[in-house]
Amino acid sequence: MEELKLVTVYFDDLATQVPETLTILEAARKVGYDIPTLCHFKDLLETGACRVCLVEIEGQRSLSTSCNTKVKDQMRVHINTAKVLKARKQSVELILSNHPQECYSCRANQKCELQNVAATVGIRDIRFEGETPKPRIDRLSPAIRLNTNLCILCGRCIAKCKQVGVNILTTKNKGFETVIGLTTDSTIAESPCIYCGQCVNVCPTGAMYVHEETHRIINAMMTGKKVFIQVAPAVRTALGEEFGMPIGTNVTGKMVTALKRMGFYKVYDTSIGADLTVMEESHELIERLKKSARGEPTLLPMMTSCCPSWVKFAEYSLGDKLNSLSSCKSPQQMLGSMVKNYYAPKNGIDPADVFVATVMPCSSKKYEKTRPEANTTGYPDVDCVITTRELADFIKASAIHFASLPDSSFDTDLLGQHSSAGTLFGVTGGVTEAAVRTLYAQLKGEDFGRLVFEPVRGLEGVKEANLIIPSVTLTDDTMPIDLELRIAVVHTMTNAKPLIEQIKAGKSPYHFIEVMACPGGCINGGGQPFLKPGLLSFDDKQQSLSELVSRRMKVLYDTDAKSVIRNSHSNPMIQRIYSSFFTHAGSELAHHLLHTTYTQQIPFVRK
Amino acid sequence: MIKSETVKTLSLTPQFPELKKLVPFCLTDDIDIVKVISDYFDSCQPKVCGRCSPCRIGMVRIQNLLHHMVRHESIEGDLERMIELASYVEEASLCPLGKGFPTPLLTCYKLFPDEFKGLTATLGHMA
Repeated sequence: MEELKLVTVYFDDLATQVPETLTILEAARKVGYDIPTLCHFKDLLETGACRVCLVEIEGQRSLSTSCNTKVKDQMRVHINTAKVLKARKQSVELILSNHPQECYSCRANQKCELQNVAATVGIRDIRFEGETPKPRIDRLSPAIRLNTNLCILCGRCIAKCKQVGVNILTTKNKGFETVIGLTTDSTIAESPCIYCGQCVNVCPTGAMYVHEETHRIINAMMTGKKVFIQVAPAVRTALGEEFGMPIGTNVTGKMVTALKRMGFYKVYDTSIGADLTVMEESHELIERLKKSARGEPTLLPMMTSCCPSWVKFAEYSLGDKLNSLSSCKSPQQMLGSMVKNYYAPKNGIDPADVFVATVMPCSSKKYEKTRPEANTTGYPDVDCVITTRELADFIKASAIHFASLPDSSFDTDLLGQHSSAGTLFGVTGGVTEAAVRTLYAQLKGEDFGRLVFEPVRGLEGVKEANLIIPSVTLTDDTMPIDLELRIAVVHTMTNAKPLIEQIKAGKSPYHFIEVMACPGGCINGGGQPFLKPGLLSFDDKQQSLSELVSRRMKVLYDTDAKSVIRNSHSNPMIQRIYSSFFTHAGSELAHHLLHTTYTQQIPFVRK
Repeated sequence: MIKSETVKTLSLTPQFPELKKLVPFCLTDDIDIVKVISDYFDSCQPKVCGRCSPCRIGMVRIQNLLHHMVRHESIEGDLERMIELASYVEEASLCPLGKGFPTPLLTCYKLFPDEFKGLTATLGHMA
């Protein structure tokens, strides 16, 4: 590795040796200065548009922004002169003069970076009055909504949307009339927005927000319905952060206790839905491999369908190769469907009296439950989806002191046991790892042992793996062959695009492709507690986003390492469901309840 | 057509060394300088790109204060607030264009402070 060149920088009179690649902001943090920032977001946006992180550099005519100025040798920086303090305060004051003063009813209250920075620089009075732009509120979409009134035009959402690969956000108009809008000139609901919610995760205020539905759960409870709640695996990795716990704290036990105290009829883990998905998906892959071995027209590679954001993106971009998506529903929908069509009849409950709520780390799941295919089994698979953040608010509103709760475990009846393979669905690469474990067993009739599939772990954008399964018989009339399974795991649409092009050209070298829309997978989903620089502790602020995400990731891999049931097919509940209800994976009933269809959409081309 | 050399010789650089180039603007004595500056700020608005907040919001706020002044609606403290804001926009804007917008206001205030003070002083009583 090339050695970093050190330069000497003076903060006031304090001489510091820092690598020359750092910005003034990063260098100042190393020596204990906490310069307030607003628009700055590490590894995403360093435009310096908000002018809050101003510092004075000797020899410069005017003030400079510390977030995007690199350090130079013998640079003399003044961080807290009277001039700088006044200018910083004025920056925030001006932004506030153009911002509604309605913090108490804002959904970003206490999670707002503008609020934080206003407190930091000490705003007591907003002296500049005048017109504010006309509010434009887009509240038609089932998941992501936009209130331009609260927007401070930092540009983070535009940069993030571009980074994720959807790229439909842009600025509209000029000057004082500038607003965030869509390149399609439509509402979000009519646009190809995939509802990944990454824009919400980076928005410093509450301008971009996720539609909230907690009231529907309360209404259902009041009307006497049996409210089942299922919690996605990624939720437990981050819920504690909302209650002041460090990033990467596993709060499964406390979370289940809280949910039980809140009066839910049953508390399930979505991981059993994931186990069902693994069973169906690996069966589907084997069927496709067999077809391919017989020389029939093939649908390889098979792409996962657990991520509704990805499914929507695929509908817009895969064209006539759309059927290469696995026909399996997502774990959320599968478990919802099983509660209404398996659990309810077996326990003599009318499915109409069942209300399935889910806690998801995801904003897109709110969209998924409104898809027309999600209602084909007679009852909607899932009635209400709340995000991790909404659950935290719900727990707080339910007068529960989360940190002092004892641990308890999920309900253990008909749908109450899960494997740790299902838990891995929360991270990028987890679906593949879970599927490979079951695929191996389905092909060979024996377990692989304690498989740790290293190539698909980690946070790289594109991960490739080759798995050789020895002596497999795919067709009846041929000799057993060594099956080489080529796998690709990608997250974000930017990384998925080249693979889509390969598939459309018919040149894809892979058999199985896993796609997740959010960087890092569900643990960093659009419904998770914010990892915003302005809200993090001083130590966390100095880490990059991927380091923080990998702390959440560690929770799920640690759970898997300690687990007894590590394969979906060895989950006794799954074995019981297949022996007594579905007969076998991919049966007609399984297709009716656990599989779905997709509709090709007209692709969107950015002008 | 004014040649660039002519502009150079006419420039007020000796008086204002912080300004590299100035285009002179000849006005007769009976012109209301505050009105001229107010009109100038109106003409600046379409040129604001809207990227950084000092220029995007600050320019509208200064314009607002100037309109008040021209309409004889200023209250006490408006002038100080406006000059403070103008120096801030000059100091903190992202691009040279934004840094340059408030310069005429600040130089006019430096040269003819009484024109501005006269407008606010009379109105200070009313407020």
